[in-house]
Amino acid sequence: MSQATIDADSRPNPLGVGADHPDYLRADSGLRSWLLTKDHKRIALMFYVGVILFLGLGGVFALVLRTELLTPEQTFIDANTYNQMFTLHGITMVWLFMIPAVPTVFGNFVLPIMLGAKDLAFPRINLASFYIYVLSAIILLGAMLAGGADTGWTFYVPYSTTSPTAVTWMGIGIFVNGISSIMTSVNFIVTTHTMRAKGLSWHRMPLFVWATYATSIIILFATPVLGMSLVLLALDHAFGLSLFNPRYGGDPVLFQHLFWFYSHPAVYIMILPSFGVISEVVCSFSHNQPASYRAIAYSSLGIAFIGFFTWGHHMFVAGLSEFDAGVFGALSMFVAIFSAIKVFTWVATLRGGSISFATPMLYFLWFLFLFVFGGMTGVAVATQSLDVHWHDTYFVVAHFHFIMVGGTLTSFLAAAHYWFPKMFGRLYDERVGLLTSVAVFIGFVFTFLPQFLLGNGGMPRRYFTYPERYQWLNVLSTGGAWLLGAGLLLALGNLLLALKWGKRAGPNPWGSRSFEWITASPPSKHNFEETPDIERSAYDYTLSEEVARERAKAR
Amino acid sequence: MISAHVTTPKLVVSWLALLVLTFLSFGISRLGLGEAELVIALAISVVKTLVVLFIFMHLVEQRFANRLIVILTFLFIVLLVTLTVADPLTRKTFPPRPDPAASPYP
Repeated sequence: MSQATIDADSRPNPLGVGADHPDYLRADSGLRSWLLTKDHKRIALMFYVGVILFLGLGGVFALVLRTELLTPEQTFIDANTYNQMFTLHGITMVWLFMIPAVPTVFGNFVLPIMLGAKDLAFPRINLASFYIYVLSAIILLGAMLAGGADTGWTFYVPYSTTSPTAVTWMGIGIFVNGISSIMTSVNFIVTTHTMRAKGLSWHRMPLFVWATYATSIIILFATPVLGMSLVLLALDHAFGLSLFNPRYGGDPVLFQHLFWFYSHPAVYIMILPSFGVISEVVCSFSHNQPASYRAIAYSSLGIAFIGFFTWGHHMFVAGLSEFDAGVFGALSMFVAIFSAIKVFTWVATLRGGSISFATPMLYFLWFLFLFVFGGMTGVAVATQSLDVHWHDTYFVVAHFHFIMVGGTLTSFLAAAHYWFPKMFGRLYDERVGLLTSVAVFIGFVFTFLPQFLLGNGGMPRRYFTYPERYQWLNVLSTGGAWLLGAGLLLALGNLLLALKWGKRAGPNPWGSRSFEWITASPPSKHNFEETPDIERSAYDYTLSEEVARERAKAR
Repeated sequence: MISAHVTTPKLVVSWLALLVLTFLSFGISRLGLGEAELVIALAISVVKTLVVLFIFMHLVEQRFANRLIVILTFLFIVLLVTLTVADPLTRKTFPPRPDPAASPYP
């Protein structure tokens, strides 16, 4: 019987399980060993490089947009370029960064280790999903170079069916991207169902696994609808099939129904993995078990479920019937219940804990602020009467950036710092980490808080020019965007420097109880020599390892 | 618990049933039944879907836990269609714009 139940410090080898073997980075060498790898950890790193590249690209597009908006009239790009730029920014950030970021990088890396497995259930499908992601990125980048699209990332008909830009290729690129998402989610679901270590019951699983599992369910159910809708749109655009043209019996609002049936749950695809990261961080850095494990775990499923009932709130002013608008408005507010359960449980977890303010913990605080602020404005825009005022203004832009971007970015950075020692075996510079974290937060707030005021004051989104009275808020927002960009670059620099010069990390530098910290840092190629035997929960800071070991032996 | 096996005769019968149902839905579209046509076509499609799922995709051989994911998928499609169809069915035509000449204000 393996003794992997015990924690690293009481093990014969204090460097963690598998420390006698070469780690996954050095186990095989050569480019071929990377490009054809079936190791979930290496695939995670390849995804890591991809999503960072696209975060950078989307960020550059954002900075171009914000810089253009420094002055009410043309600053340095023309209106057409501006239209294409915000479309490219949206598409890059949504499909190439926010949706894949946390699941493909950190889900791929830590989920199998958390479950005590040697790999995901389908390693080849995992590698294929990476290459399909790359293929989708190539198609999207090709479409960008071929003129891009000027429809916004929502591709609303009828304009998108007649736009002379590369809408068809954009649709195909996103369709291919969806295949990659589905493959990854199937892998996660099957691995969670079938490859848990002995003793690792559903209610002992780390909360990150619950969150990733719930996300995978949403991806599996919703993504095919988006794929189908974009194929129909591409057919419409390329061959003039008039599927959404009222003259031939089509309905433009039908496209919005189909699009948002995926794209609203997509918000939860982005934010649910973030919840998982945050749950891990808050427990690890308060050295405490969650105030209610089941509340956090089940509320992830609750959000995944209710998220499917809310898509219509994007269409309140699109010609949606009053009946449907009322139904969708009421249903949308239910999400707040599950979100509040999570927030209160995280905060309650801090109570009685031994809190250490490392960089990931700081990102937890930023996440909490941005998520609660963005979430509360979400309840407001789910109210039909208020939405009529705010619809398609900068208020909505600020709202979804607070929730989606704030949530994903802060949790992504929290995860990048939290699991950095596990992934690379080294520690980053903590002081620089804290400093860049503060810069990212201040930059973010200065970017998007003024946009709430701009929107409430009536400035529409997607516009190239604006009345002069909005300028000072736009200047604030642009300044914030540059600070945010600088903060992100510094954070990246800190982590890159630590790859080479960071101090060596032990197997468990944070003193966490989650199972991925049982292995060496970085883990060996197969994570564990033997399947571990789990005899405690992932957050049990009270049960001594001796007792856990006795229980495992007795079984 | 495996409840049944898909054998070759079953596959052939199912294939024939699918062909018959396809011709049936085509035939019904020629009858000019109005709004009932859509309901009948959807009902036939549901039956065809179930045949494909249970026979050709061997769902009939599976445990309930595995069937559950297909049942849930079906329910999500029902949800999508119901709320979407509820929209056009409950839309109201806005009253025509009032004649500007009848307005008390210039």
